[in-house]
Amino acid sequence: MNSFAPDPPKVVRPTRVDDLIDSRLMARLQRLDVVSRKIFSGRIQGERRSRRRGISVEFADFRPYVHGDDLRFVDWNIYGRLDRLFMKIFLEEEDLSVVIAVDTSASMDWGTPNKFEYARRLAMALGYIGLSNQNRVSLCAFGGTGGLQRLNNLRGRRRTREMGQWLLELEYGGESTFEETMKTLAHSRMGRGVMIVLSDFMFKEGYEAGLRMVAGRGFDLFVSQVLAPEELDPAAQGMAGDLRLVDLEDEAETEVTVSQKLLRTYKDNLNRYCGALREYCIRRDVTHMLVDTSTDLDVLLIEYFRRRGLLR
Amino acid sequence: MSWLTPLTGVLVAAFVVPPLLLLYFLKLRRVRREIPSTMLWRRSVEDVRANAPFQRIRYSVLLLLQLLILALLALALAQPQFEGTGSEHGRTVIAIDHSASMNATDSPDGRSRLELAKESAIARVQALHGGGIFSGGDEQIMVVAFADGAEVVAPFTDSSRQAIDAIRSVPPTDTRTTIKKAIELARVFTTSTDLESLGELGSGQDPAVLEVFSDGRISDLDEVALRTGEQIRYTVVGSATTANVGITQIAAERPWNRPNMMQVFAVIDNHGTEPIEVDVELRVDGAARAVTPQPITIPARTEATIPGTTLSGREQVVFVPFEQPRGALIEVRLLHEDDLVVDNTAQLVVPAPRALDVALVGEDSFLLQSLLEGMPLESLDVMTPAVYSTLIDSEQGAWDVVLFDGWTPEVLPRGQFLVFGSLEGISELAPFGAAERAFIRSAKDEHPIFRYVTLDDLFIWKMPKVTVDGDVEILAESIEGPTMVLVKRPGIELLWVAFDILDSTWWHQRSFANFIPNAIEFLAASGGALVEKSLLPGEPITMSLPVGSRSVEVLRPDGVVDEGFLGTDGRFSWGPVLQAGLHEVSWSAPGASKRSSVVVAVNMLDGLEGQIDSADELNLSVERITGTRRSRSALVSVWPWLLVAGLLILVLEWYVYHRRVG
Repeated sequence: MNSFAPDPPKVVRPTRVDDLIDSRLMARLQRLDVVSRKIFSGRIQGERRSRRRGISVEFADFRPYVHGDDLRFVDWNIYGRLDRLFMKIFLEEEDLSVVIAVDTSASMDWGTPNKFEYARRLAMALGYIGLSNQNRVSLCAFGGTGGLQRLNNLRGRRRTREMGQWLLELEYGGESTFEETMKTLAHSRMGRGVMIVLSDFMFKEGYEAGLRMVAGRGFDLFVSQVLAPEELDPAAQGMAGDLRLVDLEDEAETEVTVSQKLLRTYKDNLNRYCGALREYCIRRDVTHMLVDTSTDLDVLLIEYFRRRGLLR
Repeated sequence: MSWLTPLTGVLVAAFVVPPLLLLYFLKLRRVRREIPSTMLWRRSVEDVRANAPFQRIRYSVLLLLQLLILALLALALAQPQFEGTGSEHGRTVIAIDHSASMNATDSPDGRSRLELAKESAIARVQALHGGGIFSGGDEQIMVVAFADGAEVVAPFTDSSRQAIDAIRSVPPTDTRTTIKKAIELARVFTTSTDLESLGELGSGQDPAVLEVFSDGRISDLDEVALRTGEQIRYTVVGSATTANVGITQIAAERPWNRPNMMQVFAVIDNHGTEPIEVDVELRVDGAARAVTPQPITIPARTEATIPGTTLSGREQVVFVPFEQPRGALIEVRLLHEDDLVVDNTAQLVVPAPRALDVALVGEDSFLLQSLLEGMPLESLDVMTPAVYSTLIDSEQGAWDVVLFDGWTPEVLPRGQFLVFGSLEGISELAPFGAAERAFIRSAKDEHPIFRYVTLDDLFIWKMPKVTVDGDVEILAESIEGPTMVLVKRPGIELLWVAFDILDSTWWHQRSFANFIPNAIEFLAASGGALVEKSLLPGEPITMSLPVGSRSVEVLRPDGVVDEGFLGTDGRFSWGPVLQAGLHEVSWSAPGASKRSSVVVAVNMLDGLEGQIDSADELNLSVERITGTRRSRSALVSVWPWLLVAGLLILVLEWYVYHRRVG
């Protein structure tokens, strides 16, 4: 049974936080951490002559003293032994901000497995990873009937239940407001960090303007395009016959007679659409990840996301 | 290929195909499905439409199958047929030969030619008139059955059912075949006599096409000539190589000096191309009396001097005289099986022997008188014309044969007459001068009156020249015209000899001495005195019954009882006789307690009908019509196959649909 069947299967909604993330997955996720490529590439002191001081206690390396260096970081013990001045170099300890944006528009509430439920569980897992690593985790939901919903600045594993309860109570099923949401998030940015957008990116108004708001503005942006198997390969999922397709968001109708030619054209258009999104992201140093909701969540997080550099 | 109901097919296609296409284009069967976004689908549909505007029709297998089914259905309803050759004139006369030769059973399945001809004719009617599931066409069809005569079985009709029923009702007969009457009959019905209907061009209606279903053995083809515009199509029935042996003559007589004895003669013809041996059996009153001690070998037919004609091989059989003092039914039977049964048997009814009563009327007829006095007659009355004139009413019927020598009464009474040199009262013979020094050019030597008679040495000094009209048979002909003529009228049979005996060399020849007894016996036999007359199929049964008789019935050989016409003068007639065999005429005579009856034998003694190898051509007097052995009506209806194909495709369409939807 799939969503093309005359009587699609009913979606099982989670009612408890444990339904969103079970203890077994939590145990496996504790070993992971969210990675910001930009932070690591630009915050190593000495690599770039930055005026920012490293204030952490984590020692990184030594280097010869040059004129103008802060004498507080001279290693006097080495000076005593070697009679030369060496500077101690420390890693700057970042307060990593992790922002998870979940699309709760009506288009997400579809598919087998359901895209919205999959995105909600994924957001829960990613948020848990952030909380476990003392990152400042913020969540926002857009496209729901309640407009933009936010949960800001959670830190520490003890906030997990609060985060889960917020996810459970999300309102969904409205029209997508991607551009407006991204604009809001960009203006309310608190520190640098990682932003993960979970959406199907089926925005009739386009995704470019929304992504432009957040790309290159201090966020290490990860775009996770969540699609159901029925969207990726409708022929394999039994789409056939003469159909009147109704858009879940705006009730727009399109009449089709499913044929091999049409299915091929659809797949070509889908690949072209996803490829355009991917290319747009690459050009702006944004990581694009296509997520099939039939993929097991463990496999997605531990293998796919690690391989793409979001987690380590 | 022809179409029986093309309009039906076109109408169905016009009314069914567009709705089917509308079903597709109006999108009546679409199922609602909710999807996250129609964005990509809308774009895909537009791409498909933009790239291939006709792709949907071309690649919709279901639509193609359904269109194919509808096309087959429309074609089936149009009822296509192959090999149709309809009449260009809209009117067709179906003429079916139901003569004796059409009873031959030379088909592989043993059916008679008449049945095959009917089958072909029915198929032809169906082809002309619409043999499908709907009637159609405006072809006018008339059905004529022809043999010795012609009969309209169904006048022009546009009902194929009526025409087919008429064809089925054509009965078999044992008569000979003539086609002239059929053509004349068809002309009567096809020629418009309404001057107003002739139109401005005065051409009237086109003559109908005459379609003849026959074996081609027709006796009067050389008398038929087609008029302008007339058209004959000939469908040959029967095999062209069928051999047949048949009895063509039969005679029985009592020798003059032994009246209790009987002698039977028969002539057997072989119409085949190979000599054949047959045993011949003589039966008397139904019991076998004799069989030829050895099979009779009958030679094969030979080519005649006239191109295209043949002479059948012939052999005569004479049975040893046997004693038969009473009347008897004589039957000669060939112990041989062939495809035509009717001519393998011939019958005669021979009454008990009795001597003849003869009258001789003339002045100084000493030659004839001396000859008659030498014959074993019951009585001979010699009188002058004046005396005969006084007795003509009172003694009518008192003599079996009356000889008129140089004189005849103005009005002939009923009876049998032999006339020498007088034309008075014989309206069938019209004189137009006198001839001198004539001799006989041809004579029907096989006729009974010429038994032991040769006319080769006959020379005639003086004789009248006549033309003949009516029911007459010329038995001998001189270079100056008919010399010996047999005239037949109802109740009268007259053998006319043109010349006075003394005006010829005949009186001192032996053939004359043989001719007189032959002629008297022949005439007496015709009158029923010696041998009951054997009829040919096609002739009527006529006889004189006692005045006041009633309820006359004729029992036919097939067991059917018919009533005939009985005149107030006791003259009975019935016919024409269509079947060979014994016909029993019975009546209730006045004052008699029991019904009287007499048996009449009817024999198919026709050599042309016995020649049953079918002819591929009809050689008319001018035209030559080539026949076809394949029925023109062998049309193959295609619509059942189209329906079957449509059903098969329907099953395929069902399979494809469920495979796609299920």
